[in-house]
Amino acid sequence: MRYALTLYRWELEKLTAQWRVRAVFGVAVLAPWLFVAALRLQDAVPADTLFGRWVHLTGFATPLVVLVFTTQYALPLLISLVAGDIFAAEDRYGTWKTLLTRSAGRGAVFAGKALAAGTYTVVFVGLLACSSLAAGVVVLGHQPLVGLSGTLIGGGAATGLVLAAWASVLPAALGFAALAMLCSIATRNGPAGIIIPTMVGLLMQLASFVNGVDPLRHLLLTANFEAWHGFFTADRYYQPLVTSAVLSAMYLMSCLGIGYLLLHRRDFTEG
Amino acid sequence: MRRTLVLLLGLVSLAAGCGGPGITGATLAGSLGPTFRNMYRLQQRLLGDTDQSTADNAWARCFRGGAVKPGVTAVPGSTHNSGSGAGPGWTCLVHWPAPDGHTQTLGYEVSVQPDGCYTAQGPSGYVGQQNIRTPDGTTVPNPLYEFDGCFTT
Repeated sequence: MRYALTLYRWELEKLTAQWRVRAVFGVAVLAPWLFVAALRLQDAVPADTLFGRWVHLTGFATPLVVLVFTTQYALPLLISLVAGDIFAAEDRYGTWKTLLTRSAGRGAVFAGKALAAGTYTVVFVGLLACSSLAAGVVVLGHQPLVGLSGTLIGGGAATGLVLAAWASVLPAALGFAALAMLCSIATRNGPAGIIIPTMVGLLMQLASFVNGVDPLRHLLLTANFEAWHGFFTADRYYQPLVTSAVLSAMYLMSCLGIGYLLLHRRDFTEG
Repeated sequence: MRRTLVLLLGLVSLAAGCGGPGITGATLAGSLGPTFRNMYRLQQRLLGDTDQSTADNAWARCFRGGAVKPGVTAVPGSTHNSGSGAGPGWTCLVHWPAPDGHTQTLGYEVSVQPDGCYTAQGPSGYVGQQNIRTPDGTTVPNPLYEFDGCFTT
């Protein structure tokens, strides 16, 4: 346990030193401001996105539009950029032996890396959430938000709901991080660890738009990305959030379990 | 381990599949009716009208298929809610209080997503264009031209 924490701190230090991580965090902080600046410069609205119609009326629509965009296209990629490389990087630099000849065991190494990837995921989602909420409210104002039943949601309640909506996608985000780590361990290849989860995310997103696969749709990790819609109706409903969070936890545990077994059984003596 | 996983997956799909009433004409109408009423009130508020009592008896009837001309109520299948499933091609009839005082029946074209969120588009000849001008001169989206809603499935 003590080793795992030491390794976790060490992994965090390695992550924050990477230009890739700094770039992603920079994008998370700056992109929402560029988005609202672009909105201010023209009249068009992203009307085919939920809440996209109201972007000029209230700043609370901004973080929700950013949430829809991010979860539909970018989130699995941005998570895998780090989580999909965190194990494979040791293969690339040939540092597994150096790492494992220390007194820390494989379990501690695995726990340290998994915790670091999870921390990265939560920090990234949190940064994007706070930055897009701040950008919307500061630039476009804090007028009441038009909810999904046509009722007006006041500033305080809207702030809470927006943050809750962002928090509600964390189970699937962590699920994708676990999937990326599994790919990273299984393929021992950084690019593969990044591309495979990204493709899986896009395919799941495509499948969720298709009709007629309804029972299957609930088994997709991406179902969790839509669960927050129920927060913004007059009669709030949470059932999609509960089922998708349980499902995400199952994805997370299976990927971590298989990943740990693969790492545990790997023979490092050859190279 | 594997057996437990299969069992858990089965439980989740059961809970997800049998949890709600699904997407039907009745569930869609139950959400779209009140949402339309709220959107009407919002439109009146944006236009500076303080009398918001007129849309209180708004209702909706939803069915699948059949393009509806505004003002036509005698459409086959339109007397009750019918149809089911996600996708485009839904029609919902709503009561709309026309400015001259009488109540008009309008047809909204509705597209429903598998998760129970939908987009409804109204006849612009009656409810107004995509953008409306408020009394203080700003241009805002017309809530009745097109609106989104969600209901539990």
